[in-house]
Amino acid sequence: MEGASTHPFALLENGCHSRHRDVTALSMTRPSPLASASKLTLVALLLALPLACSKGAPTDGAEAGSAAKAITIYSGRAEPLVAPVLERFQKETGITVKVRYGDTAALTALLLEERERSPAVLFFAQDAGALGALESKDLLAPLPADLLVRVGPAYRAPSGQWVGISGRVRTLVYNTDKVKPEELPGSILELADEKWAGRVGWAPTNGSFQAFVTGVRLLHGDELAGEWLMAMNKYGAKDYPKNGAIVQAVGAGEIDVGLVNHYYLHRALAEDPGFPARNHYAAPKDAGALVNVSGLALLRHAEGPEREAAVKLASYLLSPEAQSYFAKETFEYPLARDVSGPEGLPALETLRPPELDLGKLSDLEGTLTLLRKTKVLP
Amino acid sequence: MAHPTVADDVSEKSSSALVSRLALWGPALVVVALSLLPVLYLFARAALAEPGVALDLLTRPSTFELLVRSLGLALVVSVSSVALSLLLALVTAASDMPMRRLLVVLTVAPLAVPCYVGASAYLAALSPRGPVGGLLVALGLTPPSLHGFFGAAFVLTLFSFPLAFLPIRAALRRADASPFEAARVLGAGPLRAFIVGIWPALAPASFAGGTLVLLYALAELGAVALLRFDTFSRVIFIQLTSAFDRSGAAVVSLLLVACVVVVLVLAELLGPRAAPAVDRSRPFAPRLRGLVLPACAFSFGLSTLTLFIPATAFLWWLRARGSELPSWLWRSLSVSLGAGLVAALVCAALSLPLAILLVRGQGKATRLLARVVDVGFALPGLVVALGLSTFALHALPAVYGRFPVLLAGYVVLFLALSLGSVRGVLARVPTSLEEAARVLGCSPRQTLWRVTLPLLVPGLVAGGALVALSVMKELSLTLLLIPAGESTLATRLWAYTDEAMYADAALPGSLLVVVAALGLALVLRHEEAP
Repeated sequence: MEGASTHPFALLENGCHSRHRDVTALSMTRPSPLASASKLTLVALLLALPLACSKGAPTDGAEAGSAAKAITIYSGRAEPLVAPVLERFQKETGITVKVRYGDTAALTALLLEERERSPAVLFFAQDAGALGALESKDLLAPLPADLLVRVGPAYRAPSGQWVGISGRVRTLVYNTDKVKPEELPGSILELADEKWAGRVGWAPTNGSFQAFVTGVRLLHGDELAGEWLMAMNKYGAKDYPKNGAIVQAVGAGEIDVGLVNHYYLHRALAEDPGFPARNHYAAPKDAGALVNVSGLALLRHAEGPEREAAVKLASYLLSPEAQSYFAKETFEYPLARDVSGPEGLPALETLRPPELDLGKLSDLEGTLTLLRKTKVLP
Repeated sequence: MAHPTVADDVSEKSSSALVSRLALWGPALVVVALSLLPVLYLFARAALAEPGVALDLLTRPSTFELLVRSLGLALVVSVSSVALSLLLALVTAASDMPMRRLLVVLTVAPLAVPCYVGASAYLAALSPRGPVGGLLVALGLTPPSLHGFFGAAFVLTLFSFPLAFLPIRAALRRADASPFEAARVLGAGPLRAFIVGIWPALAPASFAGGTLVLLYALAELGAVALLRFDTFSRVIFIQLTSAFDRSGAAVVSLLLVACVVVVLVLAELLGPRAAPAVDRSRPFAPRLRGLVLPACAFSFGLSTLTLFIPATAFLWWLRARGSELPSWLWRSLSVSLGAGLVAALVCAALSLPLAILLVRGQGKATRLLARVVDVGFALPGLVVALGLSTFALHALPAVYGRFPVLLAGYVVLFLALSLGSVRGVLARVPTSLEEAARVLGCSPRQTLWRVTLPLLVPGLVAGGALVALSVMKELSLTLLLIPAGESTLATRLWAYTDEAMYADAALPGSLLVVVAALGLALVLRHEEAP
């Protein structure tokens, strides 16, 4: 018998087996309970396979025409927010949409790595900055003109290479039990202060936050942006992976205020009307009042039936049906003309965001470098 | 070795010898290629990076800080795990301890709970709307925060100590009580007698178990990310997701690989050598006497922490969720089970020729093979994923982003598990059986098929079950390599915990634990009764 090895992984084998089992005895006894149980498990697992194949197929027949039956898209937007509208699209057209969810910056980096070999044909980004970044690296193709005119000129790329789907405003969500509205600053930059130490939450890996930082850089310069980030870090701003987690934390009292997009609060309120938090909008023209858009871009390498299917999806997301989904279910601002905005929220035209061309937010790479330099991102 | 072996016979007849040689070495070479590929590709990628970037990353003070944090956490977890395991091994070996068999099962059970599931469950439990957190809030206390070093160390120790417990317990059961009793007779106190008499038998297992936990903690991603403690793995993950140039991630990954290799080499060099196996004349069964009650409180109390609290957290949130089952559940479950099954089959198929080579063959090549397989096992899932996916993207675009790459990743990571199991069983098959078959006229192939293989089946099945179990629990590799639109139970749990949607996270979490527990029960079936 092999000597008892000191090698760590060899001990895994010795740990589980008994030393004194006689192998010849093994061969002479009837099948052990282990063998029967193992066979049962194997059978169960084999039965699971057809389940995997059947449950995955689209339920409706397709009238897909020359469009592909299935496409892959990358979505920087969170699954709970967009999965329902994508499912509706699948039901109506029979085109299966396979989605890879992730952070917008992560997916942008992935697309830049993959280039033409990417399986994705469409990118649904959480903010326009990432789309601008891809545009500048020549990865996108222009969308059809009839799609582009459905939104106002401020909400699409002049080159037609991306189009906004829904608008969002940056807000400060605060816990109503712990913070009075009068205490809240007009400018987000004032949060880098002693009195807010340990009370603020943010999501440095989130696309909307990164776009906001790009906005700060454009309005106030890189140096000031860097100083603000370092100060916030010094005063113990807490990291969260997602905006949804920030809002939950504010409601739970874990933090007092959080930098998020406006609609997360309304979703939380819809689930629980007693949720103890409200949105605070920054002063007009402040960087913290940034209005951004989630948008779609068609990838240049998409061709033929897949491109058609991608364009169909883009068209669907700009249709009144999908746009009112965004207004009613996720409380975002629909960007298609003639679709009414979410109830109970100030109208998009009345908001006073800083004067920034959305396309100018494309220096995502510079923002990421700054975030790493100031140790906000490791 | 003096007696003829399968490998020796193979060299006799040249043409069938060549085929048999290929049959054994072919799969071995495939495995070597797969295991080394990720690392080699990362090297190439890091070398191609702008030299300034790589140098800057390596010499930054924050990189050194990261190194210290990662190793610090891993060491603390490793030492705590070994200490816990020693205590528990003694408690379960004690002759006057009640319900020992149940205690062993309860102690090993946390293996079924991956660290990130444990982290998710504890976050859910301590959340102000969770069972424990809610209770504390009602009592006017703030629930403790699990974020940071201590939370990470706590959760990692709780759910990875069984990796050290299994080998330590096995060593204790093999230990001979005679030196201990002799020392007691000569007047030494129980502690001194233990150190002199029993500890030498436990030292190799403790060291190896501790090394295993150390490597596991170094590679761990899910739990440390959820608990927001920055280690290497978490930084690689964020580098991948927030830098347009992946070379940064490649460089940090290589640093992590270097750490792993150093740990492996040190373990090999410094590890206490095992004493030659001796037939024990008397099993070591201490008597606890007055310590029975504290021992019970300790061991069952630990099970409360590792099993009861997470179970309560999941059940609580499941209740809050209601009885409606979401549509994605079946698909995620099927993908998890299917991937586990396919990976198990592939690993079993590959383990057979490799085990024959390693057990019956000799020479430097076979020893090198064993090392390569072990390195694959020790590599963090994230690094393997990065290497394989980059390779597929540039060299095999047809399979990029599809299941074969994911499968290859699973094989690299978990082949060692199934190989270890098969090797263990094959080592106990006396060559005399094979010789008898040859004497009676069977060809080498027939001997393999009719004599050796049937005896290996339990090892193949147990190894396959271990692989399937590990695949279903795996997170970091899966997150990177899973095809778009698909998900496993693990990735679903991760995504929902990230969004703080604990009610939705509880579903895949509970399923994962149930499935893993079943698999674990299967693997532990051939534990002897105490």
